[in-house]
Amino acid sequence: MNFAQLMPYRNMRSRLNLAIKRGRLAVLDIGSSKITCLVLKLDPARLAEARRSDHLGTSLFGAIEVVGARNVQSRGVRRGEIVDMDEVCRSIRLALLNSEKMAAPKVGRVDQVIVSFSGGKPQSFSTTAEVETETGQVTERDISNVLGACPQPPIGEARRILHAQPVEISVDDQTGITDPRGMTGHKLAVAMHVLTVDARPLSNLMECIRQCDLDLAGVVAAPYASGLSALVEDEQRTGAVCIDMGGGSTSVSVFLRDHLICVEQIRYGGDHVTSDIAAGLLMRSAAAERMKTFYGGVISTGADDRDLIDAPRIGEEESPNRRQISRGMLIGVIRPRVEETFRLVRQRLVELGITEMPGCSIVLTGGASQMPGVDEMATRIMGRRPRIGRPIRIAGLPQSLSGPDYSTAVGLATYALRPHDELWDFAAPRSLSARGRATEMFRWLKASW
Amino acid sequence: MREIVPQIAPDEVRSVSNPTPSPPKPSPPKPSPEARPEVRKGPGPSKLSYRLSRAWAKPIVRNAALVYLPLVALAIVGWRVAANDGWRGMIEARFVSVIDQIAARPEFAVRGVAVFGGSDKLQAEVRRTLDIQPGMSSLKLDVEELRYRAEALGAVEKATVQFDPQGTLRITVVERIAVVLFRYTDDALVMLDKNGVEIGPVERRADHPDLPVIRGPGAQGRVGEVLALLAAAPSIVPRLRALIRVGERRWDLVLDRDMLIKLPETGSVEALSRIMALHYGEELLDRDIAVIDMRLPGRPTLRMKPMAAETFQIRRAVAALGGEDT
Repeated sequence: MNFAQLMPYRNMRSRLNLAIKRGRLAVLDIGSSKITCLVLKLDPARLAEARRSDHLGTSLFGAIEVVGARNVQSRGVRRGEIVDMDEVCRSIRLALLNSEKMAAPKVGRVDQVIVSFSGGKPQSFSTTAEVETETGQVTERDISNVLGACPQPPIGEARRILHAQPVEISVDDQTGITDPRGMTGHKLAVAMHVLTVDARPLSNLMECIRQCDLDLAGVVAAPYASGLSALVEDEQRTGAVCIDMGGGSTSVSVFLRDHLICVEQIRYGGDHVTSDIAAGLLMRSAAAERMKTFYGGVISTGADDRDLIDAPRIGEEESPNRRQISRGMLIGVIRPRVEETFRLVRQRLVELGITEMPGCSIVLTGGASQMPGVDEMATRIMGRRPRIGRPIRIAGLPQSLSGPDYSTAVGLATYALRPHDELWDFAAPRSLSARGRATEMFRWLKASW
Repeated sequence: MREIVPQIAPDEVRSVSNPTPSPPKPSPPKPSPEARPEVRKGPGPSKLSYRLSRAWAKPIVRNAALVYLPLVALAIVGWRVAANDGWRGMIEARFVSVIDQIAARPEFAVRGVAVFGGSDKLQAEVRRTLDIQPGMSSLKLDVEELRYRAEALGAVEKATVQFDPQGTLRITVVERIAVVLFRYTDDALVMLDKNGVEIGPVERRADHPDLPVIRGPGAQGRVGEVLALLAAAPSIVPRLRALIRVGERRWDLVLDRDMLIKLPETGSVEALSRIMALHYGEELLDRDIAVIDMRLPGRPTLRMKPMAAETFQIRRAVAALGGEDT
């Protein structure tokens, strides 16, 4: 892997560390239908203590507190990509200012922000490498070498790496090693998961953050973030599929052994259901959205044909004799799109071979997963009963922001506390420059005598 | 792959059997871009207000705007005003006139002055010294300063000055009582109280015939001894002309008929008592003696006047004749 392309991410990591030292950080979930901003108050001492005492970081409670939260309607974002920078900046400013105002008694102004990125056609690659250790014992230098030896996957033109995480480290055929430093062994092998996205929407997002006078402390793929908060620890360990049903797209993230191993995206989401209703029933999209939220569902029963609900045509919203349709009819409109989405998800999972994986649970999260009957339909199509995943509780999170549609925002907060090791957290393998040669000679002298 | 969304006609049976998609429904008429005066923007702060409010969230900016800038501005204005004599004079005059207006209100006026304690003469003197006219503003009177001025009078030992709620100035004085007169070397005569504190000048000795006169350096501080001596010999007080402190050590008593009693440094009261005892027995003080010297305790010495023996003989002869002494 070429480490030079990762320099911006190194800078983001140092900004994240600065934010943790200062004890305040904002996370921004920029989705297609809403922008959520959380202002976090961090306790650096407790955070360091939790990280030191517990490598997996399960005891982070108390180190983090949500002191400001604001949810605004997202404008200028379609399918997770920015189409109107000015409007997006405006929404971000609104969300950030309001949550800062709410957080004002507890923390000052926040400068560092972690954002989610939900568009850009995410694509997962896997790359592996194996090297001989230099001294028969694994050193940090060996780890750098093996990471550098990983071949660059064919990411394509105009694509950029968003995540590159070592997911599997093995020393002399012993697998499942979490920290190989100091272990005895002659062969060090690593498997890496590389997630790439389109470069253009990603740089648009960065530009938006820059225009809002904020320091970017990290960009996280939205499916990864929602998996981090919607899946419980054991699910992440034994293997789980997190299906984040957002407004603009539905994304799938697969976790195994505490690591993200795959991300897929299907470009259908809740907004498409709304536009189906609006087009199929000739309604305004606001009215269609409202009807979907209140009466929507995917499994119809006999009672649904008798329930009549207001479904005004365009222009007759205020008239007394507006149209009424049965709930069964609404379900008939909604159902095909949801069914199609799940079929596509199943197809992707079959391609990945995850359906054969035993003990792999399916977790539905995201705004569209709140529709009644979605889990029933997922059971029918995927043959496995899913669970509706709500984000983990963190201190201070308002009740209104703890539903499944906020798992990405909460996942960003947990990512800030306990980021998985990325490629840019390791030192680059040193080329043998003049100084490197001297160091080598010194090392050889030290090893020989 | 993608399923066809059924077009649901209102109040009709679903027409899912129709395999050919119906022509697209006419979308609602969109206003053309030119028709709209401007693009409607979503809610949210403008970039400027966003930057301003975020800058305001910085403590250093907020402190600078709320504390330091006003302080600097105040300092500059204050310095300019203080440097300009005309402005300063105007401000001072205005200030003083406002203070005066407030002080001149009838609620603050002094209704009267009442002096308690001491003789009438002293009370009159206190009134004259303090010089308080009814109607003066009580805000301008400093009670503590009035007390100092009252106590600066020699005849006042202690004074209390207070306003009562009705606006009357109540002055209570404790008068010093003169016990001796002290004559300076330049013949000026003053009254002293029992502690040796000067009360005031005396015009003539005859104004206070009942008070003994003392003189000599250091005599003022020894009024207590003088009183003890006088208490030991009350009968010579009418004959006493003066008590003189000699060398800041001891007392000389000057009686009429040029008689001088020299008392010792220590035990002066005992020495005087002894003289008085001699007087009762031998009529010592009635004799023609110039000096009774008691300075050596074991040896009282008398010096007689030049013709004392003759005078004594004549007086005894006259007494024997039963005549009257001239």
